Formats: sequence, structure tokens, C-alpha cells
Amino acid sequence: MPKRTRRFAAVAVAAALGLTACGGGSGSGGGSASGGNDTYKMGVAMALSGANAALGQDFVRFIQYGVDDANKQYASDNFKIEMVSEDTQATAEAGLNALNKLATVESVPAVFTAWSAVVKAMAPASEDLGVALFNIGANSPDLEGAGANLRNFFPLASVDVRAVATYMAKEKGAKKAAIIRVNNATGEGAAKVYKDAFEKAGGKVVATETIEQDAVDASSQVAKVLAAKPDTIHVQTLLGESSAVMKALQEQGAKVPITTYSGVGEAVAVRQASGDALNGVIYTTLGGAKVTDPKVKELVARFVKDQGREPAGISYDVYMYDSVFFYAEIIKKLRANGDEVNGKNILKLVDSQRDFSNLPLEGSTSFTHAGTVIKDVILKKIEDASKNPGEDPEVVTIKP
Amino acid sequence: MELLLQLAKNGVIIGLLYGLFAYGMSLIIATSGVLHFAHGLTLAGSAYSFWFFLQDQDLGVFVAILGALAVGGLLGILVELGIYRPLRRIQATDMVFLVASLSVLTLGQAALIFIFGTDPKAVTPTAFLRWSTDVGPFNVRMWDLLIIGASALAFTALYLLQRHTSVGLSFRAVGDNPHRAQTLGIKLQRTYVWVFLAGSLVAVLPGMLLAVQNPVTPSMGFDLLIKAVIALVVGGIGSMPGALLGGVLIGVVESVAVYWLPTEWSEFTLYALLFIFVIARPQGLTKGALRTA
Repeated sequence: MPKRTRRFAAVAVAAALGLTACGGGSGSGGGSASGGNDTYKMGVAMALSGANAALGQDFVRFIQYGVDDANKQYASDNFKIEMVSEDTQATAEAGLNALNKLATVESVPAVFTAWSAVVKAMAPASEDLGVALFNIGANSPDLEGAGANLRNFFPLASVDVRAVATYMAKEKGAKKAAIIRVNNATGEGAAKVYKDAFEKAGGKVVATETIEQDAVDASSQVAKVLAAKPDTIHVQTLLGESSAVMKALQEQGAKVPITTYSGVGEAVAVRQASGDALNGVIYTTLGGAKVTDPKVKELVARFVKDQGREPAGISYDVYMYDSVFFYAEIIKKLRANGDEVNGKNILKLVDSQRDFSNLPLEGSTSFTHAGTVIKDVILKKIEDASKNPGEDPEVVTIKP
Repeated sequence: MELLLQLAKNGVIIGLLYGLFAYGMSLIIATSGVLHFAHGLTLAGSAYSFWFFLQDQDLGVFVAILGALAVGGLLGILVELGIYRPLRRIQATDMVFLVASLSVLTLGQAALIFIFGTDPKAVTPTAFLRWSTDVGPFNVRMWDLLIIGASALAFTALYLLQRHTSVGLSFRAVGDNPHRAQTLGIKLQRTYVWVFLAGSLVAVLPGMLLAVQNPVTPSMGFDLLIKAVIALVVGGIGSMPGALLGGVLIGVVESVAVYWLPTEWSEFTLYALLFIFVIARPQGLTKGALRTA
């Protein structure tokens, strides 16, 4: 039987590799085309299937709220926005397919997207396709300058991770830090920023351990990190593996301050799955719209009424909603100038105007010369993970 | 040294989880010859059921366990009756079985999204589940003890089933030679239903164990499925002890390797181990016995 065994093993290996390659889900979003000179398509590329679909589908819902509300607000300007969405599965490959479809089939002038690996993959292609690319939910620092057609509407981790690293070293006196990060572009970029900032502030990063996305156990990573005896631990992970990290830290008796970011600290599923392992954790949120803001509360209530649950990541959702008004303002200006609404003109206008003050939730945003935005960083502490993130007390506000 | 011991312990525990999942797959492969990738759906479906009865409906842990076992067992039987039996009737090739199994897994994930939505579901950890203590150089968690207990239960139950019951003996007879088993009066179709039920019930255990540790998502069975396939190749496809040995070996390799290597290399070590076995010892550690579907 060895021949058959070998054949069967080869099939099993091929299948295992195939499984690895095809990822955890499939499916697609969708959108509708429309005619009409006064209707402008807004290309939206988000993870609508796979492990990150919980966030991605919420993002699309909040963008749709923005479209509905912006169309009312800009009705007197005689134009409408229509969202056309495509699925990226939060992967570079599917992201490129989504961008190609939005640009060539749907002929959208601008694509709004999230997830660092996706934005990174799309950035050079958007230049070839002549569409404006807006990052509205990815924070990897290396997205700065990643493509001529890319503008980062969402603040990059170079803002909040740098702030928390500096705060822990300078204000809290931490001399040694350790990092646990997800093994992808987001985690790698954020870990580099943390290390640079922490060491610039006089500390030393003594361990950096990675965890695969959606991993079920983090005990080895935590054991290695604790063996390095850090004064603080920064966790930069995604939805699936975060609770495993937090539980392992608690179970192995981590006594040092633990920091993370809003994608972990405010995620309902992570808070629920981690339980009191999250209590005491400090996380970053960005200035502008806060979850306690009445307008944000109103939007959340609208979502809860529609979906029967809290949104998965409200810190991101406010950018999704506001991005539509940002786009509407660009369209309004281009129309007023008599310019065509295309990728080139959109980018030209963003670069010349830089300041946009029509955002209903954030209020305003300003682009730097590098195509990024800068915000205040607010550190919050989880005192009771079973409560709504809006009830987490603020520790400090750090000015950029 | 303390860190190395802790990593080794972590590897044994996570390896037992891989082994537990691979064990059910191995039972199904050994008897029916089907590389049952839809086992991942059984795991995810039972995890969702466990969450649904425990967290969503608040019916208590006993009902949640029974509910998860019922759903997991039913999924296994349905796939056998609805997919594999018709394929066997038309004498489909192994590749067709493989593609069908992968299709069921993918469709099943879509069905889970349709039923439960895409937002992850979490079981709130109780004080019982959060318990941990230090024993010598080891940090021992309640989760570790549950995995050890579930593994001991599954391995013992299946061992006794295969050695001391007519159903279990029929598994071995059919796995050895289905035509000869049939001439001895063993009903093949019934045996297949039983083996899919037994194998699927084993998959419910890791499903529930994962549900109490991490958020439940439609794709949760995927990572474990890959590890289980590696465990099967390393341990010997179709070998019951091999599934356990393979699981523990890859768990230990994955965990201990990071003592010397950066943690991002842990998966690389697994695939390196896989290729070593495929090239140098394709029959695995225990010379797995298998047949076509």
C-alpha cells in the first residue's frame, strides 16, 4: 500500500495548501449602477466575507447611513451619491480584484477602503487605473506615501501607537517594553512605530512576538514575552486572536500595564470573549468624534435599531460615515468649478484644499503634505469589560 | 529552561486539541476512505450551537453540551447521507469526494453567516473557566485541564468502542476490507452512518473547547482543519493512534520551535515537518492504513 499512501498524502498536502491559500470564506458584496448625470458612484471595497466580515459589513452599513444622510443634505446641490460595494475579504488578492471591478466595470472615480494589506495592494494599482484611493479604516504606518493616488483619511498608527509608546516611557517610567503583534502588515508596521517611539523616549523593546490572525492560543507568545520581564506590554492584534492574547496574559499572571488600540479595546466580541482579562487594559482612541458624543450616540442607536446589536467597531464606523460627506464636499466643489468628477481632479482638489470642515461627526479633518491626517490621541482604560466602551474612563489626551 | 518547559507544555496541550480534531477525521478516513474536510463545518456548527444554547438562550451548560453534540452528530450524518452516499453509488473518485467535502465546508460557512450573521459570538468566561495556577515551572489553566479531560474521554471511548462493540468492530472490518466485511454480513451503509456520527461527535469536543476560549466565527474550523491534516499526514493517515501522536508532535514542534526562532516562524516549522514526512515517510509515524472512498 505505500504507493497509495503516498498518493493520498500528496492529495492531503495539496488540499491543505489549497485551504491555506483560499482563506476562510468567500462571497461578494454588490452594488448597483445608475445612469443620471447627477448621480456619482462611490466605490467601497470592504471585507464582506471571511474572518473580518463582522467589521466590514458594519462599515458598509455606516457608509450607507452616510450616503442616505448626505443625499438629503446635498439635495439642493442637485447631485446624489450612490454606493457601489465590493468584497475584499481583507486580503490583498481579493482587494485588487475588487479595485479592478470598481474601476473598470463600475467606473467609479474614487474607491474607499480599509485594512492595511488591502490598501497597500491597491495603492499602486489605483494609479494605473486612474482612481482616487481613500484609506478610511487602515492604520499601518507604511501606508504613508504608499501610492501617488492614495490619501489616508483614517489616522495611521504612527499617530496613536507613537503616542502610547511615548506616554508609557516618559509618563509611566517604563524602561522595558514587549510587543505582541498580529503577523501581517498592520502588526508589523505598528510594532516598528512602537519600537522606534519607545526607544526614542529612552526605553528599550526587549521582546516582539507575533501571532497568526485568528489563532486559538497565545500562551507560547505570552510565555516568551513575560520571560523578557518587560515593564509594559503592547498588544497590536486583530479581532480573532485578541481574546486569546488577553486571556493568556491574565492566566500567566502578567502584572505590568498592558496597552492596545481601539480595534481591540472597543470591539464588543473581544470584550465579551476576554471577560475580566481585559480589565485594566489601556487603549488608544483618536480625537474628534467620541462614542459619548450625542451625534455618535444617535448613529449607534440607529444601527442598534436596524441590527439589534451594538456595532463591532464604532471608532472606525465614524470615519466610514464621515467619509461620505467628505466625498460629497469634493463633488460639490468640483461641480462648482465646472470640473469633471474623476480620480485626477478629486486628488487635485484634496491636495489643494487640505482642510475639510463639513464632517458631521469628526467636525473637521486636515490632510498633511504626506496625504495623512493627524488627530489628538485619547488613552482610555477598561475598568469593566462587560460595560459599553463609551463608559470607559479617559486616562489622558495626548496632543500630536 | 523554565520557558522551554512551559512552551513544551503549551505544545502538548494545543497538540492534544489538534489531535482531538484529527482523531475524528482519522476514524472517518480509516473506515470510509473519505478525507472529510467538512469536519471543519461540524466543528464550527457545534461551536455555534454551544454558544447559542449557553449564551444566547441561557439554557445552562448541560443543555448546551447536549445541543452541540446533537447538532455536530446530525451534521456528520447529513453529509454522509446527502453527499457521500450518492457519490459512492456512482463510484466517484477520491478527488470528487475531496471536492465535494470542500464544497460542503464552504457552503456550510455561508449558511452559518446566513443564520448567525458575521459578527463573532462570544461565550462570557466564568470564574470556573478563568481559573489557572502555577505548578512548578508550569502555568496550568482550566482550559488545559478541559482539553486533557476531553482528549482522555474521546480516546478512551473510541478505543472501547472499536474493541468491545459490534459497531466498533464493524468500523475496523469495513476499514480493512469493505467487500469482505460485506460478505461477512456487515451492512456497509449503516456502518458509514455510524462512523460519521462517531467521528463528528468527537469534533464537537474541540468545537466547544474553542467556543469557551475565543469568539466563535464561521471560519473558525479552518485553521484547525489545516493543522489536523498535517497531524494526519505526520501521524499516518487513517491511523487512530497516529492522529493523536501527529497532533501532539506538531503542537510541540510549533510551540517549542519559538524558543529558538521568532514566533512568526512557528507555522513554517510545521510545513517543513509536513514536507519531511511526505518525502521521507509518507506513511507517517504509525504506518496508517487507508483505502479509497
